[in-house]
Amino acid sequence: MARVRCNSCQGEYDDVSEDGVPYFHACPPVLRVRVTRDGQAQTVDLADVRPTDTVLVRRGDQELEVPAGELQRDDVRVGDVTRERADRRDENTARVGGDEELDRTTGRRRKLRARGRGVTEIADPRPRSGV
Amino acid sequence: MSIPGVRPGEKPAPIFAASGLYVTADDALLLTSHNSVAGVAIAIGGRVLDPTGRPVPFSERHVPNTDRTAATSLIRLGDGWLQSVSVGVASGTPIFGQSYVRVDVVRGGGAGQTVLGTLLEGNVSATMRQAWPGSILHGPLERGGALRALTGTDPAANTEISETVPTGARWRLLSMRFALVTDANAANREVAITFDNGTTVYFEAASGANQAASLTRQYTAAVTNVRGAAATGTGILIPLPDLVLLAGHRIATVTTNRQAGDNYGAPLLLVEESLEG
Repeated sequence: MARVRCNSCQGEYDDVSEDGVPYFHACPPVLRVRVTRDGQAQTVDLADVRPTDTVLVRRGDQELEVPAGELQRDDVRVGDVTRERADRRDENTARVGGDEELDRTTGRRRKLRARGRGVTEIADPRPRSGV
Repeated sequence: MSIPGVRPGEKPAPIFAASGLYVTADDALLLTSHNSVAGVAIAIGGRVLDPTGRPVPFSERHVPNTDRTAATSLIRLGDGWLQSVSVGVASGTPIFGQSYVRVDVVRGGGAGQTVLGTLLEGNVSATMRQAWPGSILHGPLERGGALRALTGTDPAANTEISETVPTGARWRLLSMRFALVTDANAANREVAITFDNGTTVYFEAASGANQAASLTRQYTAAVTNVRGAAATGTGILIPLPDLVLLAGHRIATVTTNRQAGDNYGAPLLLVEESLEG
């Protein structure tokens, strides 16, 4: 059993679960936020939203365009969309097609639905129980 | 009652007529397995009475795949009467629902292979075998699945939780627990749990509770009819329906007003997992 990090989404997981069943990771989608930037409507990654971008929010019963730097605590951002990653990794076995990769747990080659950017083995930061 | 050829008061001669299924060198046993656990090996054994009346035992070892896809072994028997077949776990410790086997009598190979009969099918575990004659045929989805507590992916910050039902499996999600740590941006987040078929959401349950900035909250979703948040603690309960999720379906969080520094912990899921077979 090894602890690995997905190079596509940076998620971390054990390649075999504690009950001995191999774990097949699949990257979650990314969140895109609808903004108006320099007068242009577009969607950007949440981490790329600038304070000067305006976003559509629900404030009370109203929907308003508000600069991202001036959002209030009770505003509800409207229009978020999710998109699959272009470099998505999905380790589940492909019925058809897919990307072949050496299975770390069996040593056999296996067809993954999507290889993505692969994985990196990492040290397990969690404390281990035992004597 | 009189027996033909036997005089009254005389014991009948033993009957040596072979019983069982007559097979020829053109026939074979096809062992098919579906398995989800690492380190499992399957043993198949039995006995054939050859044309001279001599019992001939056979045994083979079969290593199943660990990704729930089918693995097969062909066992040649020669001419004679097949009298018994038994299949069990030779190594490893699968629990009920994690290793499924079927044994067919077949003739030919490849695309032209013909199944002449099915002798046994059902789950095998470290304590349970399948046998012919004797065992009742059970499909992989008939008798419930394996109960599993599994830890999913610990997502990076600015990422939702998303767990996918593996290829070849069906899940009944019984409960799910995870933590959300919010960053310092002032916004009320609300967590919802969704089920989708890989593309389209078909179920969503909102927590009904806000989580403000710089807080850690523990979310539990379970098959229940109540929704609630602790008065002074950090727990929030989200009700789920009792649904079966097919392979490729996803269990995910969706966070209203999520901020770039918000960080989910790895989810712990309790599922009943069945093999599609």
